[in-house]
Amino acid sequence: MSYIFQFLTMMLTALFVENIIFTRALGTSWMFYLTKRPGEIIKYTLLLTGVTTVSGLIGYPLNGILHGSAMRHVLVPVMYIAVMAVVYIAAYLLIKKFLPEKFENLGINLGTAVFNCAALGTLLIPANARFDLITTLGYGIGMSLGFGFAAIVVAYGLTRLEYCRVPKIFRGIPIALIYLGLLSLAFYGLVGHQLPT
Amino acid sequence: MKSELKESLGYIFFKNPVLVLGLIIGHLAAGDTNLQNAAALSITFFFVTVPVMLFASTIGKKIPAGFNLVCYALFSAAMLVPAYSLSGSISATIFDSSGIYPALLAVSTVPIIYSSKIAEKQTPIKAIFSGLCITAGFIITAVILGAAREFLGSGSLWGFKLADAIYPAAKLPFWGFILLGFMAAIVNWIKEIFKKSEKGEEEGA
Repeated sequence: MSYIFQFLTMMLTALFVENIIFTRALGTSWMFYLTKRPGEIIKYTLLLTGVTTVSGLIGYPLNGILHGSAMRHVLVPVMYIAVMAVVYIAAYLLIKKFLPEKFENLGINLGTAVFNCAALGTLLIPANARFDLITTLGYGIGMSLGFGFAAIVVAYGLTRLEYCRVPKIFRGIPIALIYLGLLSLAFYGLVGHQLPT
Repeated sequence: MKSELKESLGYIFFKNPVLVLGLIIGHLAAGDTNLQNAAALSITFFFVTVPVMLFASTIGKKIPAGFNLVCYALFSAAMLVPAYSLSGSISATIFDSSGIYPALLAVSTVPIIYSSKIAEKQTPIKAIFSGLCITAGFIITAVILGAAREFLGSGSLWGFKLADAIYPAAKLPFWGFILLGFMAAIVNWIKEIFKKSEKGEEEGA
């Protein structure tokens, strides 16, 4: 029972308090890409969740071995990227063999869902903090779901902004970044932080 | 030849990977809070972009589609080792104190998707030149943002105290997003001025 509680607590912490986009700013570029294709947000979030969960399970024991190394700041990311490569190749071959009709559609999504900052960041934060396996998995799933949540919120806001009279030089990337900054500030206050003085 | 050179140089400003294309935003918004972080990010960006572009222009185009992404990601991950060593020679702690953000550059959109796609269509020399221009565009953005946030957030530059902190919250991610948004707007404004002057010259001719 305590494991379930620990898992859920960490998942909710990662989802809201340490949201992957609003607090950590991981995978922001891909989130902007997905806001133009809202239909793909859920599919992408599920792929990201799967990748981080499987890579987290494989990488967890290897992280324990590397953590004592003096070059752990570089070896741990390299190890996780290698693990992600193995997961990608396995998923690629399995989908090609068993779901050939979905293969064409999944090709680029699978690659971008595996190799991106959101996936690697979700694995590196618990690895550096030396979380246990249950916490690592809860954190990974919470971060991935947090990505989907943030993408939906930002996509909705950017759609509304299209109907506003934004000055010409602020259209596109500038207004999207300022909007994301204001959302990030709102989230910072919402979860109970105070601005440093 | 001249148009290719112009296109490559465009990556520094008019096609800046961060401010115009909206790539690698998160690393700068959350990770670039002072000049030392900017240095660590810039060194790592150079090592994960230029060699990967050279790799993509020589071997990458021969790798079957679907597997090239894996090769680029593994190659850029291997490049973290020299980036870490060079950062360590500047300051022993800048790579470590920048958190996870320099390492995340190895799987960011620029080295493994954007720049490698450009390099696959180029010769190795052109790919290196394009890589250097993309890196220059990133470095300019990282240094300006890092310096502004360090000065506003702690009143110092590269750790040297110059004044009292004006706005300590400048080190938080939301400030990074907003500042990047204004920098992107300034780039758009300069682009507009260039466009108008080019139009004026054409009409005059």
